Amino acid sequence: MQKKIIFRVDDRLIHGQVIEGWIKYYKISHIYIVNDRIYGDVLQELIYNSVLPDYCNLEIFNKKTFRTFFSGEIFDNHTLVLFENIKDLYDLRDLITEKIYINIGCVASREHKIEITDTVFLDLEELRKLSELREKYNIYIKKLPWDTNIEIKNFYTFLKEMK
Amino acid sequence: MIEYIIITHGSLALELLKTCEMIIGKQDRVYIITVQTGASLQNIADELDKIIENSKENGIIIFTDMFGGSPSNIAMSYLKNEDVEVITGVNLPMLIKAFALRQESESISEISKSCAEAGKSSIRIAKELLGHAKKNHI
Repeated sequence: MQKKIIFRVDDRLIHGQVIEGWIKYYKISHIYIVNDRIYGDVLQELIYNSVLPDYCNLEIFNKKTFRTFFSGEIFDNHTLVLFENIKDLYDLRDLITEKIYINIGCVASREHKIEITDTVFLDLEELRKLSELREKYNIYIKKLPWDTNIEIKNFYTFLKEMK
Repeated sequence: MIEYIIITHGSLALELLKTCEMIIGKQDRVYIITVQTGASLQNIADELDKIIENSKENGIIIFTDMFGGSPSNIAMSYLKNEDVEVITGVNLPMLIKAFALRQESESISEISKSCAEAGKSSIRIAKELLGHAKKNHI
């Protein structure tokens, strides 16, 4: 992968697939969690820090602080930015550039959601948001780096059917 | 009596308990939570909340399968609670030890230490044992 920055939506944030898959595969050295809920939560930060390999540096932001940080930051190393849900990614869509690899990894199943893969379940609003982002950028739906990508262009068919 | 929760990826927790009971008989005051693919972590946390709130006993030990995995991460969020301990890397010898110990002790920290020890010491590379035996024989 040419791109050094990955924006991943994963409602489990840091867990087995991220550690054994993405971090090792791309030799990720910097991880940023963007989440208003756990920002400032010392215990959560401790838990996530304790499970990362030594070469990985973690910082936790809320959306506001990440916007300021990311705008001025130059990334030389492989970096993984984790969002808990599609709304958070969409809210910060103005930060996305062609240099960023967008990955949808885990979005839990709930009522009124469509199963896209075994780990990604989307409702109508999430489909709309992703379809809009897809107009400008490639979006890769897969839980692990070596999985086959699900093509998001097909989502327009879903959207038409759900109307 | 200290209560136990086993929480793992997939159905490992259920199978571990069933296998454990096959060896040492039926156990009570043990709860199983399985984290299936696509499951909502909020639902899992709700389930844990319910068990921990309803616990009227002497504390709870939560056994998880893999340090760093989602079951482990959720369980560790309860560490603020003094009556809760989390042990990661659960295996069969660890569980057997855990069920035996809670008949004798009511100390969460004592049981936890012994369980971790039992889990670790049961992992052996068999050929190395053979090597030791040969060496000693010579």
